[in-house]
Amino acid sequence: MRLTRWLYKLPLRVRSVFQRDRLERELDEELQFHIEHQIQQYVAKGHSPDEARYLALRAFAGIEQRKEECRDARHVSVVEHAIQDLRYAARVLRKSPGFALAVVATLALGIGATTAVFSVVYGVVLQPLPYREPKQLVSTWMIGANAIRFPATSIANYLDWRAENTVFEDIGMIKLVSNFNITGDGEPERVLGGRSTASIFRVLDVQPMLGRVFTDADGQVEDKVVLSYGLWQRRYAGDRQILGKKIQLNGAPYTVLGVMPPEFQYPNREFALWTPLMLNPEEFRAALDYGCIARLKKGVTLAQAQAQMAEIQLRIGKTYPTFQGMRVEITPMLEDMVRTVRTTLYLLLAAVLCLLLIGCVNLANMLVARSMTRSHEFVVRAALGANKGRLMLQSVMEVLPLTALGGAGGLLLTKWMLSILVPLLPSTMPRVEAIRIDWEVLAFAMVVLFATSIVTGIWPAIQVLRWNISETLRESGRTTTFGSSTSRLRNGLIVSQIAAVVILMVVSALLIRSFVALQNVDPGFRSNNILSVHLAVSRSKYRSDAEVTRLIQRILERVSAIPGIVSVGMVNRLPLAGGNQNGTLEFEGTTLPRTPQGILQTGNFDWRTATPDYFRTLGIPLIQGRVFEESDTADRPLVGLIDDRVARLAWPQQNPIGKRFRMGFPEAPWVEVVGVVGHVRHAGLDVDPRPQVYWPHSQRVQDRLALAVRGNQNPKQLTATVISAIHDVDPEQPVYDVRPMDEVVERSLSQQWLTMALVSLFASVALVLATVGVYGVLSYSVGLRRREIGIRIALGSSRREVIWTVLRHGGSLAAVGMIIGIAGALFLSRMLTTLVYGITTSDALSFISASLVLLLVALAASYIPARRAASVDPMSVLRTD
Amino acid sequence: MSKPKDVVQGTLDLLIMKILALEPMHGWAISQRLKQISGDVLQVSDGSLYPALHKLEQEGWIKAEWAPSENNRRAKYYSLTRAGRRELEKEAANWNRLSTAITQVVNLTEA
Repeated sequence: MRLTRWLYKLPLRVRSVFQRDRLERELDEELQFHIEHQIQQYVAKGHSPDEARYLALRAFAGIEQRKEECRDARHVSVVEHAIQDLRYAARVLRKSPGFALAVVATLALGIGATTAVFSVVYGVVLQPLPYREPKQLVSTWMIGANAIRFPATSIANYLDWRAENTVFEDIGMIKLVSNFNITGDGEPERVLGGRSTASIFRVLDVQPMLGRVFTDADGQVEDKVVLSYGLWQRRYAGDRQILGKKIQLNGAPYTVLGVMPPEFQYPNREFALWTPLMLNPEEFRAALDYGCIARLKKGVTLAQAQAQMAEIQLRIGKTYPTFQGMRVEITPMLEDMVRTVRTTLYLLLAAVLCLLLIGCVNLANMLVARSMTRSHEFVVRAALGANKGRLMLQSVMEVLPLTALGGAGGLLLTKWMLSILVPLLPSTMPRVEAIRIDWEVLAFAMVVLFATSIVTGIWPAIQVLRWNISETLRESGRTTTFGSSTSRLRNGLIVSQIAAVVILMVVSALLIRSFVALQNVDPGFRSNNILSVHLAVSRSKYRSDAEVTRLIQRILERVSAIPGIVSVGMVNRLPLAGGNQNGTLEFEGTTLPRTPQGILQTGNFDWRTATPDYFRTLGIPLIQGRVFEESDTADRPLVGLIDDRVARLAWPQQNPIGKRFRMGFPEAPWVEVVGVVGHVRHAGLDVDPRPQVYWPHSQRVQDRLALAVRGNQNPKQLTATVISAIHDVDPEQPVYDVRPMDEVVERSLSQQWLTMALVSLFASVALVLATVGVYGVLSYSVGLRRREIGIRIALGSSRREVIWTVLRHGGSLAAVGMIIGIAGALFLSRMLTTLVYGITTSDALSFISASLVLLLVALAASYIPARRAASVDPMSVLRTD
Repeated sequence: MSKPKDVVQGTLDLLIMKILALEPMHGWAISQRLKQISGDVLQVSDGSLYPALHKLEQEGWIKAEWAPSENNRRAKYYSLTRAGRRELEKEAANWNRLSTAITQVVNLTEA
């Protein structure tokens, strides 16, 4: 009943709004009709026509009021007034395009930048994983007795966990790094692939787009492959006939079972294919090479799972002494993925919100200033009976078209900013492909727009409530000042704006200083004029270590024969390139603390395999003894190199040459130290967790290698010749990650660079906005005080004193803002501990320089209004008022 | 007392709907009919008639159409809608109940 009544009434309301003019005409006609009949009736009763008209109108008791009552009956006055106000606002704004443009541009920039950064934060950090019930997904970490965390486990552990746990629906495991060389059809190509258990697909609960995934029933024979959507499109042109065909991976045939949908990107977007993982239960239990994910059973909490897994791991530790003291930790899978970037992204979001707030203060000031110049009009209307609600509505409506335009412009800017920002994001950032403008992002933009409009539009509206009509009218002709409460409000806004700018500038200064410190860090090698090329040897093609050694030997010979090449070397993991291989070591005759099983407790070391010329190529200094030589072949005594940090750690005050070390497990062979080389920063310029030891490649063969080529020219120009030299040796050998070493170093800093650049950009924009803000407020206050200043000058005040008064006003605003800002920055910057390098978060130079710059800028912004105040002509001022 | 008092708002609505229940009419005719049937007891000023009509129209109880009048001028004719007819029945019943009750109370005090 109610609903149908509304269905009936709604069109009437809509008509009332949109056919206002016609309804007005009809109302006139209807009443006219009545009045004419009434007149005729009076005339018929014997009145004169004039008398009749007078009586007829009197019978209505005020025809205009009655019309208004009829309009009110339509119940649409609020909507109608709003529309009127909008029209009026549009007219007013057309007359002051400069003001409108300033407001719209500030809003659009603020909302655009904020939404763009939020899109990144949402896409990368907040958005749920694209799997069923993503909150149930967890990953496992192993934590060593020496508190070192491994995002991995071993096969034997996995089998035990699977057999004993009751908290997971299933556990899946994937080999963390597997290289596949695709050959046979087209260019040879190296891709990253996942050797994984069939349970991976069950844990994530994903279906292939084409064909099927491998199952437990397919056994552990490594002859089947599931392709990623990207690889299928790129290399096989989306050919559906690929199913059931064989492709050559590492020189062996694999049957294509299926193709995954584009959104399946486990463990990350670089993985191009998945093959069944052979589970050898006999594999060394401490080989933590496998990543593990699991799905919690319904109703099982993270804490319950953690408790049970701890129990299981305790039992494993009792049975296998190597694992004694090792713990297992369960973390939500999403948290695991975004751990490294979360702080940075939140910092950027906070910085851009800070910037938005600063922009809002300027907007609010502009709008308040404007509403004051028009205050007389408003006050007169209030005096004539317009109610305050109506006037507030008008204030709000005048801001509305601006915010709408600003919001629309902001969304366009977001799209544009994202197209610039996303390619700049560091390659290590997860889920970059998930960044887009979706409903959540739009909702965020709407909330920001709404909040911005309220924050900025509310001030002028509040002014309406404060007016004292009679007082204002007495100030006839002049703009209204509204006494001290308004100037307090404006001063307060400026102070908070300056405080926000100080915080942004301090953070920016901290990040700049850190970045400079990082760039001055000595990485332990010289990166100029080096080209780096990665390659992974197909072990099904080069089966024995001797064959691999021969291949590497021939590649090195071939490349060093290229004219202009100074030296060539190979290493299993290139410094700062992202990859790593590390583990524990045992040192003969050392006094370092050990576990009861003889494992060094402080021991986590970079395990490096290198060829003799690697050290010369990278410019790693030899400190003592010798580096590897061609004569250190597989059948010769086993040798090794240590860096100076290992030397100090393992054999302090002793000559390390001739001492022996080995990997931290009992079967590992001992090698003799023949030399000490300089330490290299491998993990990053900002972190340096491990020292290094080296084995010669001929004695510890690796199938994943980086070739470093030092030339005497721009290394980019060597690219083609080096790759063709490798293909001369083996035309089917793919290469990847080919880039100058300088670029490798740069890329390792890309996250720090981006953070510094963006925050500094925000801080600069904020500084400009604050300059405009201070200038605006002082100009305005000088404008209001012209009369007072004129009188002062007339009474003998010097111009210098006048300038000084204004500067003092600007300076004191800046000083108060600065003090609040510094206190805020001291408090907030503590959260940046992980993001700064080489300085503390309360770095004095950053704080002082940021404050000084701000103070100078604030004084400069005050100087122009001050000059204007000093040039006030007392005569003209006193005459005009 | 200066002005004749308008009838209570709800009562005027009821009267208008009752009149329109017989046949569609324009505002002038309604005002004439009101005077005619209620005489001087209920003073309905012309002024309050039209807002009431417009309110009833917005409520959906009555609807309006432009049609030629007796002297061939365009006039706005109001007629009762189906919903209006139901509303009229309800309101008329209410009125009867109320007036009966009031009558009883008034008689009671006199007795």
